[in-house]
Amino acid sequence: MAIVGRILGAFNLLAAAVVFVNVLSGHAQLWNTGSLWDYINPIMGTAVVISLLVNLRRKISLPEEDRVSRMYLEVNVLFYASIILTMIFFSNWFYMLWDFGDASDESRTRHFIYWWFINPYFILVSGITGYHLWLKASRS
Amino acid sequence: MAGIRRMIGAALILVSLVIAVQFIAWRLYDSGDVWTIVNYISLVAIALAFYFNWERKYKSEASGETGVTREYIESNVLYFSTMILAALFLFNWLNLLVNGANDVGVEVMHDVVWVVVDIMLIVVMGATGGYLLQGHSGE
Repeated sequence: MAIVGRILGAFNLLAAAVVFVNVLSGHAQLWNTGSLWDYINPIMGTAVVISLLVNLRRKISLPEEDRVSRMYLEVNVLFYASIILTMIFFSNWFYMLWDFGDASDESRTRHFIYWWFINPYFILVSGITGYHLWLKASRS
Repeated sequence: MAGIRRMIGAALILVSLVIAVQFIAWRLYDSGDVWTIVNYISLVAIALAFYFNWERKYKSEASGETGVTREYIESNVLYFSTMILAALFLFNWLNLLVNGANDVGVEVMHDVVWVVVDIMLIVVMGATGGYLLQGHSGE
């Protein structure tokens, strides 16, 4: 089981690193990052689903008590952050896949703005979840 | 009463799931009428969530506990989230009813508010429904 956790953790960390590099490259205009997103989005989608399932599992396994611990705060913040990321990522990605060609300029601009929010948010959620999985696998 | 609360909890979770599916997949089918129905369901769900989260916060404060407990954090976060959700939802929905979908000049603002409202609906209804479904009476 530890090896699965390590693989999933590495995948999420790598996905976060790839998005981080591509976002920075896009801002610095080092290369044309536009077509790269077509390959990165499926990787992001997989990492988003992994984050949601891992953080749901952690929330379910929280001990039943009324004490507020660090783990309680961290697990809940990551769980709800994963839900929000899942919703907004898949909504925007499906827009890119199905509606982008026929959309107005205004609609495209709006969805590009959503990506500016999604990308750093993804780096945080996927990176932290991946780091947690990797650390847990290393300890077991 | 406990059975009714559980049924309402299950209904709120169902609302949360329906909105989640609709929010992600609405572009894949003709969803204009679906949003109209979802908006009425959302109104009822927000009213129910508002009542139960107010009741939970009221009972949490009446318990006399002065420390920071899970119940204190959860009841307050859910109560104020429901208030914000209700304000944003009514603001956008009433505008939609009065001005239609093409409120010239401010369409972008309303679209962004709908994204916030839909995501908040999914989270708040899921959390409120989960609490009620587990059989908590708030006492």
